Amino acid sequence: MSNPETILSELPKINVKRLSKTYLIDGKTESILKDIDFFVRPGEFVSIIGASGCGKSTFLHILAGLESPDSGIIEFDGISVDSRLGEVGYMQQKDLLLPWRTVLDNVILGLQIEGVSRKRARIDSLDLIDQFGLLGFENLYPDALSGGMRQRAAFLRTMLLGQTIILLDEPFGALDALTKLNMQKWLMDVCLRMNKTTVLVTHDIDEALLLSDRVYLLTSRPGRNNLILDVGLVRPRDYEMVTGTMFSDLKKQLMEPLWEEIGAS
Amino acid sequence: MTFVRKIQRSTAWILPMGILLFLLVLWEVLVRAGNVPAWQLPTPSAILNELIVSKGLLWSHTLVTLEEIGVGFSAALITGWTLAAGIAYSRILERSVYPIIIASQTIPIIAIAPLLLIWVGYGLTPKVIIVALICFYPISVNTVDGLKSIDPDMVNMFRTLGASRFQVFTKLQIPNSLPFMFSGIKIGISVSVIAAVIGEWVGGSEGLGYLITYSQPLFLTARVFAAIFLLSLMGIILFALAVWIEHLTMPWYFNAKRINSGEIL
Repeated sequence: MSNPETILSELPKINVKRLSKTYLIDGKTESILKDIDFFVRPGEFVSIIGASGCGKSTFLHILAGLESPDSGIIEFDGISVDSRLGEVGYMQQKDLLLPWRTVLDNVILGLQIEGVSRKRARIDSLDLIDQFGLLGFENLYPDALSGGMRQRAAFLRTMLLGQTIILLDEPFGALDALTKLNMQKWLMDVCLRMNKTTVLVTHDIDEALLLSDRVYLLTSRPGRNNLILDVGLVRPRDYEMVTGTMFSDLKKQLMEPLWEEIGAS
Repeated sequence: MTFVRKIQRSTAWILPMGILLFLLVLWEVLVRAGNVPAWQLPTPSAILNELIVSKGLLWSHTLVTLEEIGVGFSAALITGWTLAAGIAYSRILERSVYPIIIASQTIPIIAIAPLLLIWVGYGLTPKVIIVALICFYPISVNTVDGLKSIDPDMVNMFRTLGASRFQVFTKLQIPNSLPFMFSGIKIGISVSVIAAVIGEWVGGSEGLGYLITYSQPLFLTARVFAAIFLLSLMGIILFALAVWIEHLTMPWYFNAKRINSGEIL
């Protein structure tokens, strides 16, 4: 993707133009997102960061098809899509595993919804159960699992449908610091290996920089494009990079507009 | 489970049984010492004797009462589930039928029992209707609560997996309602015995409730006590049966409870 010519010829996986969204709050229309432009190339990992209330989760909801924008264009592979439900993988901070299903049966939920028989889906998913480090735990109920394990099971449920776009809404927000580090590294590997196009919403600058090819910084309400930062760090990435000068330069570029906003308000 | 806990669990019933036994002995001694006539208050041993001597008679009446409860409670389950599903699925039914169901409980069932005799006669039917009328209420109200108390994020997760409304209902709402439904069933089964006795009191020629009203004017007090004993035993067994089915249906629920109380970990 460093070659400018391939960038021009390559159709973006996700392309959003001038997207706006308002909510009716207490009888008043409030602008949540305003004229957002956003694109992700196939196989890229892109993060959206911003202060709470900047509408980043709403943006992900809209991409997932849970909500509709008031105006703007959303294209996947160059095609405008109106009903996006079931077209993209979407994962939230809560693992949302069903307590009455074992890990294995939770993971195959999406396949079952698509109409695959339980037996077939169980067989098909065993390989990935292994790859996701859940082998030996597949017949346990989610309550018996640690937070990190539960989150991995939730990931697998999202990944198993074979959608090429994965949307992640602060998936590590509820995990402790150490588990979080582990999961970030693990997520990087999985997304690269499975060749997913990933959009991550987070308020953690380190996380955004470490994982992403590009970071979108949004302003506070209404959310607008504030800064688009290309993260030039080479892959595979490592935690040593976090303490490097290049990383701190990038971090500074993100921090400054964020600080300005806090100071201005 | 630790060894100490095991012992604690297996001995938990000893204390209440001991108290009960003590009270029975006290009863026996006091009645004998005070020369209380048997028609006023028989001794526990006389009641036991009655249970043995009249076992054929008592058993045949027990079967009648059991049948009323069995048929009536099944009818309550079917109507309770149907109403709950309808109310949870349709806004119109929720607004129209739900208030009527709640209002129906303000009608004293014992007062409309004589009307049932006019309409359907003295056979099995009026008792079945009374049992069903009393039991369907806790089942339907609790099941409605269970069907409706769903995390909206769960519904969103289902939608992004491409689930239809019907799939959300069958794969999310119904399993989610099970613990609530069993609460309703346990309440319902506890009062089902009372309901059957009410039905038999108002009009009937069979059943343990009838046996009580028949024996009382004849001062067959030991028989009255024997019938009461069998009724409460029936209630206990039916309740235990409901708990047993509950455990079989929701192993995950009780697993989670044990983990949360620290018994497994």
